[in-house]
Amino acid sequence: MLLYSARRLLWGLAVLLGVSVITFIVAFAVPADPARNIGGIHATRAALANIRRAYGLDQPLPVQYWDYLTHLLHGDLGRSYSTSEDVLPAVLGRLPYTLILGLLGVLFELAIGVPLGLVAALNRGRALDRGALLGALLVFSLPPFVLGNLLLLLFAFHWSLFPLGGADDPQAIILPALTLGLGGAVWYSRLLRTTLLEVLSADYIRTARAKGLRMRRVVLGHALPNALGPIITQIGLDMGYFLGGVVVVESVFAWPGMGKLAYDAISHDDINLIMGTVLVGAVFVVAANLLVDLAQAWLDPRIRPG
Amino acid sequence: MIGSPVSTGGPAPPAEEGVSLESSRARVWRDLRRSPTFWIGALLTVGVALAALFAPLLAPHDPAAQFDNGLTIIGAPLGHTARFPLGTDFEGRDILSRLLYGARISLGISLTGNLLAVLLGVTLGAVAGWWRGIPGAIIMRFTDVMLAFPSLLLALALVGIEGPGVGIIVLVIALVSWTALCRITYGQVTALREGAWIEAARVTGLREERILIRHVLPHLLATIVVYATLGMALTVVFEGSLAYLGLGVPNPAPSWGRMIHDGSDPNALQFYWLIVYPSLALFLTVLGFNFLGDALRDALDPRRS
Repeated sequence: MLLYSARRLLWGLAVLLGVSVITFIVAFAVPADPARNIGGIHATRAALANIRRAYGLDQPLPVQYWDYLTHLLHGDLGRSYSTSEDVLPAVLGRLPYTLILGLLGVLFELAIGVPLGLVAALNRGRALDRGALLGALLVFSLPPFVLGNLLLLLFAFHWSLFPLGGADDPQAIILPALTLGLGGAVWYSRLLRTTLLEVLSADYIRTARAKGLRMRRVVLGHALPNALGPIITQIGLDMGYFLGGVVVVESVFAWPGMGKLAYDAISHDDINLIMGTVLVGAVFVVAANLLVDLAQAWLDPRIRPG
Repeated sequence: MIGSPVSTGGPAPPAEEGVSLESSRARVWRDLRRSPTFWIGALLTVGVALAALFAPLLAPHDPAAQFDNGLTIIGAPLGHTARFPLGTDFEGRDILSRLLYGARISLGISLTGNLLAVLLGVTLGAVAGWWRGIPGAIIMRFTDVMLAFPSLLLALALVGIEGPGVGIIVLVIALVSWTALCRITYGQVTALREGAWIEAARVTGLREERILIRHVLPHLLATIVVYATLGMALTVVFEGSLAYLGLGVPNPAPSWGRMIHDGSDPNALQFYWLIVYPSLALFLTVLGFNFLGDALRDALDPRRS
């Protein structure tokens, strides 16, 4: 287990190194004049020349990358030029909001998705199963900013059951988390249905049934725990996509997390700040995947050698 | 892209030429014809495509024109009127015309971006799966790295640096959407290359690239078609999200995502039609591709239940 954990950790670090190469290319090799991104649109020519010298932008690219990497490793993600704050603390300060929203979103995904998948699998081919599929396709076709705004329009504006946005009211998290969770819920319900049907045709399920266990016991006690593994793995793999949803949902509900920070940074052309959220987001995705892998290996010894 | 909508278990057995291929085509068509999902999906996607193609003929007004009589006396948007069937926005522009022209932007960008992503994903996945070795390892590790990015944030950074424009938006959509298909192609090609008929093709002296293109890739066609269709749904959403976040095609081009954004201002919420109609347009478009993809998967996947 220890060896496996060490290998996964090393792999995660290697991915992050790759991530840094790509963010470097995006920030320094793609723009025609990276000095302008650092100095902002109002920088004078002399200021730009100073920035080039100070940031080593006149150096060859590999030297620049090494420089960039050393800065990253020291937690220096540069400075936001719309607020003059250091980028890392600015992003980390918003992280708790994003974490709690994301966590509640995943909880909604499971709380709605698992029962839905179970019902669909147990009623395979019947009206209930087809209805669940149709409902899943309908909900899954609502982009988060459409769903979020419709919920906002109905439950916050029309019926005033929830605040219009922000994070001042403890109730304010419900609508954004629901927006975030619904799409995933119907998606994972379909995935769970497929894995459950596969698991239910396995030999040990037949054995359990032959022993005289009731179907309900068999499904909840034997099949469901085994079918949940792939779902958890998939949730980990989808983390990058999920964070995209978080950005949109935070913008819709003015939820003061990392995504809202990125959204506000766009309107100020604050590339440093956006890149900061990209980097912290990538670390988050890699960490989430690592956690899922380790949890799986801990639960299922068969995974460890691989 | 999330999940794996297509079963990627073992490779499909090679189709025997002639009769059996023909009958499997007939079977697919028979299945599709009986599927209500297929017909609804086809109806919706064809409808949106027609709206996009014939927008100049269908639209009652110029989508960018600001009408003096398109606002109330206090400067608020108009609701339904005979002249403006779906009302007007804060600029006094006709919503119906903007929706119709918006279909061009939404479909045009998504179609091109998705096509590029499919080409990129299939090519890289096929190369990595067929030749493996160091180039294969590099490609697949690169895919892993790309999957670690929150794709929307990366897209925001790229569009933010380059400045919003149709070209960069298409490119960014392609850059962040190719990974899923690359992994699937890789998996299937690695499995297929062990097949006996590949050995036979090699014995006859065919070149490697030719075996890959003529004898391996055709077996992936069904998977690619399903993924490209479902990918359209995701790219339409992605383009809409970029526009919603302020990085869509620049003004005054009508874009559904930005129309929803403008309508979601707290002061605009009372004019519900500003949100509801563009939302409906986006929803029906995405639904069309999802229905179509789902029906195609059911009909094309030989391992379906």
